[in-house]
Amino acid sequence: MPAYLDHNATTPVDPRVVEAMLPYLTGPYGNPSSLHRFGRAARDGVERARAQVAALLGAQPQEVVWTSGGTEANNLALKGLCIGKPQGRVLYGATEHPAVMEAAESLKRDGWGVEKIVLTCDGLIDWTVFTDQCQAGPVRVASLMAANNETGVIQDTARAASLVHAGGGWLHVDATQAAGKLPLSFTGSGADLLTLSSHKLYGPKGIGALVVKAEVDLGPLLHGGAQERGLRGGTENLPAIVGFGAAAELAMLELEGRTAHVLALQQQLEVGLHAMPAVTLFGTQAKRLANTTQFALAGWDGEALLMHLDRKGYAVSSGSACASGSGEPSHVLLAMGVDATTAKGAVRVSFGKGNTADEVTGFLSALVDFAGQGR
Amino acid sequence: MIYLDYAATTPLAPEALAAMQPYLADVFANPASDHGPGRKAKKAVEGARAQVASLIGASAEEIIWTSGATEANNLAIKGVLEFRGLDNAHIVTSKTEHKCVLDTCRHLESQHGARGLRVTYLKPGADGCVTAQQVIDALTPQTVLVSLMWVSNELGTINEVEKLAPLLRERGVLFHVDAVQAAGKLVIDLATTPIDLLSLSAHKIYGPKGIGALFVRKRPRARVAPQLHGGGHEQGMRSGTLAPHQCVGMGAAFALAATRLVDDAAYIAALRDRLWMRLQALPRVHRNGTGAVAPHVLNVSFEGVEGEALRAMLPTLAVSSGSACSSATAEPSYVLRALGRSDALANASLRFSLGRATTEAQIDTAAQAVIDAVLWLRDISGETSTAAAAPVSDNAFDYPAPVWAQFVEASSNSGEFAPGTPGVQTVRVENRASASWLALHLRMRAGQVMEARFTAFGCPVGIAVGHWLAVQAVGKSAAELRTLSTAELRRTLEIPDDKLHCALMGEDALKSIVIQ
Repeated sequence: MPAYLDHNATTPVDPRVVEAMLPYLTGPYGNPSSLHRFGRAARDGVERARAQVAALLGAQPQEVVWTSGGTEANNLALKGLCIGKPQGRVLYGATEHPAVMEAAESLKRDGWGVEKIVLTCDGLIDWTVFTDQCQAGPVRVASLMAANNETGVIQDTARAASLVHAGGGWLHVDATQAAGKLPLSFTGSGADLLTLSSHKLYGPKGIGALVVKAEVDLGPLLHGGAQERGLRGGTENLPAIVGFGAAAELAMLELEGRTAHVLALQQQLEVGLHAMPAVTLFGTQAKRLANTTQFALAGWDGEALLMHLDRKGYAVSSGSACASGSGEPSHVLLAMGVDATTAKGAVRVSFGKGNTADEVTGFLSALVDFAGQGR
Repeated sequence: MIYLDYAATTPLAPEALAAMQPYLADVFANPASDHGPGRKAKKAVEGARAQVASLIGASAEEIIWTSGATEANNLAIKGVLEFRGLDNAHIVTSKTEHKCVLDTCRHLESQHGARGLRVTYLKPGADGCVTAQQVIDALTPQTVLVSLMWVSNELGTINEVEKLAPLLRERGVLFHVDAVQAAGKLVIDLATTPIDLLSLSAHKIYGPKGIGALFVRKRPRARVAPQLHGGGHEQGMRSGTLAPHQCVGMGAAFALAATRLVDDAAYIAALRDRLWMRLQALPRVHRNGTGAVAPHVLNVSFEGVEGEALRAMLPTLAVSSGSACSSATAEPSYVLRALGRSDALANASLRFSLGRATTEAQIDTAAQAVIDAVLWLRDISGETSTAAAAPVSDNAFDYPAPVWAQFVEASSNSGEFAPGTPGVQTVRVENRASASWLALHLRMRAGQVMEARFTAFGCPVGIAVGHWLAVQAVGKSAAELRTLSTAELRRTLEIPDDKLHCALMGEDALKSIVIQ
């Protein structure tokens, strides 16, 4: 059995989540929009899950809008705020996920001013620059991730919120990686809109949510049907929604235990990495997620190292799965001022609740072998 | 409960569930990840893609996964228009398309109307079908896209897409077809039918919810601008992590449909015909959509009954009164109105949609339940006096308990007095907005009500009000009855705010009683 060390790409579905989904996969459940009894049983399942997901953030159930995943939620947030509105400025963090970057950049075509938010070498907001940026003119929306998918660096979104709000803008927070890994509060995050993904917290793939405050003037991205308060047409993905709800509830209940477990593995890994002469760790000066470590091994290309590790049975990543295979250095590391050669060597390890200390030991000894071989 | 709503959604085929389960367990990696587990997930996704392609005569690389047909329709229409340019562009579609196509077109009009973007919404013929000639006649030099459904979700009618496709190809107009209700029911061969874009859904053909696909033709290449950005999945046309369990579920469902299509269609069409034959035992029923029809849908309008009351009386039938996506809004079906049905008749319509698990016994039970309900309601309105037994039914739609208690008893004092009965005073009031009415028939002597009956056409609340007033009226004088307030009526029957008009009708009826 290979060691799966890529939980920021996706997580296995918790068996208890599958258990919760099964009745909705096999049972006589209808279309949640149908008025008959089957339809209403389906609707009950959808609404229970909405409350569970809301509870993870201390949000209101009616603030939760289902989407097909984090990518759609990010697209809905940015385009839904901008399309059809008078053009203004859109800001996004330089280390955002491609779903935020590309959604924001697509707005240029419609005449929007799209700007990156500059980050320090630790991956954190440069407050002096950001303050000026927010004051340079009215902002429609700024988008920042709560925790970075590659480095695990945690952003102070609440502090950013006050600047964005002072500039008249809405703050969108992509909490795809933070949810289930950090204590997270919708109001505490300062976000007006917040993205969640189910499959990063042991729920099924194909479902996510955008949590939106009632006062945000958001338009739909998918037209058709009055589902989700008119913000998202389409028949609800009932089993996945129920699974997401169950996963969110478990994430809340087990947050402390899961965090302690991966933190111990992270410490074990990083002690081992520090002991190796040719290793650079990224983002270590900032607060990071307890499960994520990104590093480079001198003399190794990340893709090549990945392939060797894969053959030895270790599934890790060079960065975002959504950009894998492109051969390009990580845009996240480049934005943090890492040089292209070092960035191309980057490997990301992301632990999950099923990983063991033995797996870390094995992984480290495999790395030591490679480090010895050189490129 | 008899499920006759397969056009809204279908149960998951056991074969599809079995295919999905490994991907909810051990094989969980992200198919975009470049490691062993990721490649294994990707292989499954690609196998499923080929299965989907195979049912419609396409090649695998022409299938773009989406979160469902709504997204596929949005991607096709907005994607083509954005790619081709929105200025002065013209789209031809029909008034009977699924709501998501209509909403997308209306959105484009409202956003880009100032730039000359126009949409033509064709009205189907009385048979429910849109003909190829209608579409051709509507084309202009600016037409870039025709979007037409293959099979109507509400009527089951088949549009002339196969005849139309080559005509549009000759004219260089892109053709998008919403085939959600056609896939698995009719033979679709895109190798010989020059459709450019075609939308598919899994959960309408025994696959999982939350997944669909858009066929995008490679040769000649149809181009769409992506609607979801980020990561460049699906050849850049649709970003987002794929859900392998859903992809393989859809693949398995499509593979199964390929083997079962002919037998399923014959079996289901025979049951559908049986249902229609049985329902015709009732006078004044109308089938909606009389042209070429797919095997699984039967849409019928019932004269002389109100739609909400009819549905309330059929708690054991899962049927739809239109598309599930618009039934939440409780407006009469826009599709039936487009066919020229009146609001009242459109409202008193049921869509039965049948599937693999439907049986003859279910059809016979369902037909009888509908017949009993219609006869009973026609008795209540005084149209007939068949003395139909009150079909005992449960309060499935959660009307207030006092309303429901009055409603199920309503036939005990409904109907008019025999013509020529002395001393009868009838008061009749109506509510135009809800097209309902209430009449009290009071047999009076010396200013006192000796006997009271009522007739009504309307929802269960209106009927409950009629019954309750007729019971209350006995022994009272006209003057006493006129003092009965709306507030008291509402309190006693616990009438909710959205049914206030029913209480007002009751009060108006009482106020109309003439003191003699």
